[in-house]
Amino acid sequence: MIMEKIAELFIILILVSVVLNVSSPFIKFAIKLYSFQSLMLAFYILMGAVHFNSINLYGSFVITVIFKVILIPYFLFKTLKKVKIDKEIDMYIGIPEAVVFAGSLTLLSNLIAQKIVTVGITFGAFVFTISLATFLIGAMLMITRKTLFSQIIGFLTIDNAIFLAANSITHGMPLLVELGVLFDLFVSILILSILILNLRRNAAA
Amino acid sequence: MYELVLILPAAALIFSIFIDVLWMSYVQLIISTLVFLTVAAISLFFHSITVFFGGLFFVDYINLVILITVSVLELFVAFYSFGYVRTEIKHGLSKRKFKFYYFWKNLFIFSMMVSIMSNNLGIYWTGLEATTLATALLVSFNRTKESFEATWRYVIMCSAGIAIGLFAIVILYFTTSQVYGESLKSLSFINIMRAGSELDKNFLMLAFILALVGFGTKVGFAPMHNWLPDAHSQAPSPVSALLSGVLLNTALLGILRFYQINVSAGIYYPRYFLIGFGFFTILVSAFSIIKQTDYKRLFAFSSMENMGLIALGFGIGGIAVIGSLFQILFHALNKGALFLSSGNVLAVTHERKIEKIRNLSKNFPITGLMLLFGVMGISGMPPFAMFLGEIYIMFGVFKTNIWFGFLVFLLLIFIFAGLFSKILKMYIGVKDDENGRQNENRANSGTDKDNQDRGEIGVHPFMLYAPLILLLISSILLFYIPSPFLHIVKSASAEFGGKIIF
Amino acid sequence: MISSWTKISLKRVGTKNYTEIRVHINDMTYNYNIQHLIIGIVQFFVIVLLSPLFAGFIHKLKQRARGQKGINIFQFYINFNKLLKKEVVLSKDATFISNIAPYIVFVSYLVILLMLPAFYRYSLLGISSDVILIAYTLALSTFFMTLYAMDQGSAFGGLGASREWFLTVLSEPSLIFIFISLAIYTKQGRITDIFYFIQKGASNAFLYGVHSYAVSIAIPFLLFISLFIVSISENARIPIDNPETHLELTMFHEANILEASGKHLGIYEYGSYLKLTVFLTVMSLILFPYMAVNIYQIPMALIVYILKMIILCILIAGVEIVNPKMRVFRVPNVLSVSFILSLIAMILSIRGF
Repeated sequence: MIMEKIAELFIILILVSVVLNVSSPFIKFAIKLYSFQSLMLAFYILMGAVHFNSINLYGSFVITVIFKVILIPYFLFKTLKKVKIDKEIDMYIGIPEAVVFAGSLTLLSNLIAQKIVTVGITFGAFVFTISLATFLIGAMLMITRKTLFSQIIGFLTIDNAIFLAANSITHGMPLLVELGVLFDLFVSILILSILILNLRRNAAA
Repeated sequence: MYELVLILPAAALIFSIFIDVLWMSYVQLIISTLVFLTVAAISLFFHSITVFFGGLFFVDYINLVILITVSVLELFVAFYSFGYVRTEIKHGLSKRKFKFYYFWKNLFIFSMMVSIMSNNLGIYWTGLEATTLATALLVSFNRTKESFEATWRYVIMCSAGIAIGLFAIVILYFTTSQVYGESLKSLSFINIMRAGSELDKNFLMLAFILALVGFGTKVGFAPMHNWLPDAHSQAPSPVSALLSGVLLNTALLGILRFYQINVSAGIYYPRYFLIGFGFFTILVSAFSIIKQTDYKRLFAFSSMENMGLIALGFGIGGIAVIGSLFQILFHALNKGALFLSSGNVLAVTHERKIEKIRNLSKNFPITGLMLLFGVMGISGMPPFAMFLGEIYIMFGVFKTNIWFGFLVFLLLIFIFAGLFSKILKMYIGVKDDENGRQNENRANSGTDKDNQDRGEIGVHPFMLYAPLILLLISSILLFYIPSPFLHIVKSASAEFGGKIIF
Repeated sequence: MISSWTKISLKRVGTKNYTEIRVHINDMTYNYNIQHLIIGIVQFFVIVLLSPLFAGFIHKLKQRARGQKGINIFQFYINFNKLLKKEVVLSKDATFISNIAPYIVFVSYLVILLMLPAFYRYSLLGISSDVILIAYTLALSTFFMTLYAMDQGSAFGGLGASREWFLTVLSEPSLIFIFISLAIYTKQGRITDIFYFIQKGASNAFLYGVHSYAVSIAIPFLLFISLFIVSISENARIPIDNPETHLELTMFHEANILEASGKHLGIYEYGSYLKLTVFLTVMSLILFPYMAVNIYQIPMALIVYILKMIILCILIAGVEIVNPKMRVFRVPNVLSVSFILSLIAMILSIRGF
């Protein structure tokens, strides 16, 4: 039971990091927050692995740490260094409005989750609410921000939300599938980084 | 035999890394022919669902239709690429670039095959995402600002959309894992269909909606279609043909799988979602076609319209399902012919704007005619097979609700008018010179060296005849549909609960 | 009002789980005796007397981190003593508000401190320590402080009052949400009961392994973050306000008491220490509720309380050292995060977990 309670703490930290991401206009901080968020996700998976004693989840923990906590933020930072931008992100709506909107999305996702998920299915309470909220806020980040990097961050946030849902209602997807998904994610980040570089070069020329 | 369909594209992928481009074009021809023959043999002797590669892959009637479509179009695209590579290299593009072209194209075909035939929904997802990534660098093949922007939009929107699809798969996995336990087994499509009504209906409902929105992004359903015209118009023409003709159908297959699962569990409402999205897509594309200035974007919107029509047909059910299944193949053939022949114009003139292209009947006699006939086909006019598909779908729609039928019909007429007004200007219109004076003589005088290069003469014959044969096949299919294919379509439509009335 | 919420959440949770909680935690009733009264008064005086010490400690830490020698840790007592002896100078435009406002501000903080169960569960006014009462008593003190600022007729007073309300309007909702979500989460109205409930539930769950429904690490943590941000803004701490300077551009809190002198200034200063103590105490209770129930646990509880306060002081001093002063227009960003976190905590506690 203590495992479950600690796992809830990690889930909450995921949501807190997403809300902070909405409130902060700095790209570097956003990438750091993404790394932190993935680490929390990995710890959540680890708690589940200890709780259920499932090898599948241990494997999931390891590949999450490798791909999401280390590799993807590393490449994003590398791209950021090459592009040489760390100014404030332009947004279509102001930050307080965006944050309040994120809160209302959480409320909405709580309503949906209450309709669908009955108590006791998930590992840790309110995981489904949080993952749905993270999902919606990630989509909001993609829509409301103009900078290319923050669209990537939004996309990655959506992906984290899905991973959270996958590891909460089930004991993780089969490892084969999970590996494929993470590999695809990684390659898509690489491609997007290449595109950012090319777009910057084109804009400069 | 079934394994060959996966092994051959993988072999082509490996060849494309090591072999020189000009040799590779021959290898590609051979392999595409072999794939086509394999698929043809499969469809000739196909009688029931077959599983291979340890249950990870399977062929049933529905994905067989798409498989046939892919193999046919791929064959012609291989022939076209043969000429395309030679023409472009002659015009000064580097060989290395075309090595990349073959590599990414084969990766794209391979991951599409994986995606289509996968029994496991997780593998389906992985394959579909891999197609996005493989085509990403093909879309930005021209390395211009517009193409990079189009690629950016394409990758970010499709990745996010497919991520939503992953959410659907996760929820489905959770639902089925209560029946089968947590293993690869409970992602297997055949197992899920077998579980049927044991599954939790609330979760299936959620999964379908998420899948429709998620994979629907990749199909190009209307509110999520922003990436489609850009990506399809910026890609090299053979890739555009593949993107429009088959990749959209591959994504649609995911939605159809979820639809099938819902139907097998006894939930029938998802058809309204399909109808709604399909109709809205037709509506949006109808109004977008009218104001297009770029002919490749025009065809991209037309594919959107056709995907909407196909989704509408699947939603209506009954005879419209048969129409939709026909439409999957026929649309691929016709749209392939259009994109390939527009590629000829683009390869010579390097001009994307409709207003800059005039008098195709003189400069491009074969290509121009093909564009005209292709547009006739794509808007459902009789000498071409799409007439059959559309008439079945419209028959179903009219049977359901006559007013709704009139509405859809009106939109189709709208699209027809939009397409024709543009293409006729390109075909027989006369270019204005700087003074606004019509000068017909300079364009077809033939003495100017520039004008000779601007004509069809420099184009490789394969580039001319591949789309022509595609159109011919499309025309023949209206009058004679091979009985094995008819059988496959009938059986596939039976899986959606369609009644077969002929 | 709280009881109606309790009913709603009862419906959501289902009665079965609720009775489970009632079995484990059944001593929510007050039976006052002389012992409670005496210890309550002692607790009150201990907190009130310690509060300048906490403020001094934070100040000292900040100065040491900057490389200065730092003030005497008891400096604020000396300042207060000195200020009390000086005479009060009031503006000629001042009305009676200027005479009563410092005392109302001071007394309202004292009343809140009378309610808070810092280290003994039965605080003196614990029976009436409703969370909404606490929130609005805090607002009352702000109200009178800003009235005082405007009453003196100086330009800075009006500016300070408007800025103070700018902050308060942004942080008040999150403060109220924090208290309400605590109330919903534990299904108790009084602040003493709330924290005793959390303490009891946690000890049941983690020490004896009894499953209790309302035990969670996550929600108090969320509330803690939210309250931390609110307390930094309400207490005029650095990322949001800097009370050490008297620059007109950066003043929030100081502009309100710029006209105060002598005894009034001393009372205001002491009031700000008390306010800091109120927030730190609530935070310490959310962080780790450990309250003595009988007389034998008091030494232990007192030590734990002072330890928690020292940790929180170090935390606040750390935040003040690390961050630069924030632009005024960025303040709503931070406070909206706090508001949303408390809102999320409330949403999640409505579900009854």
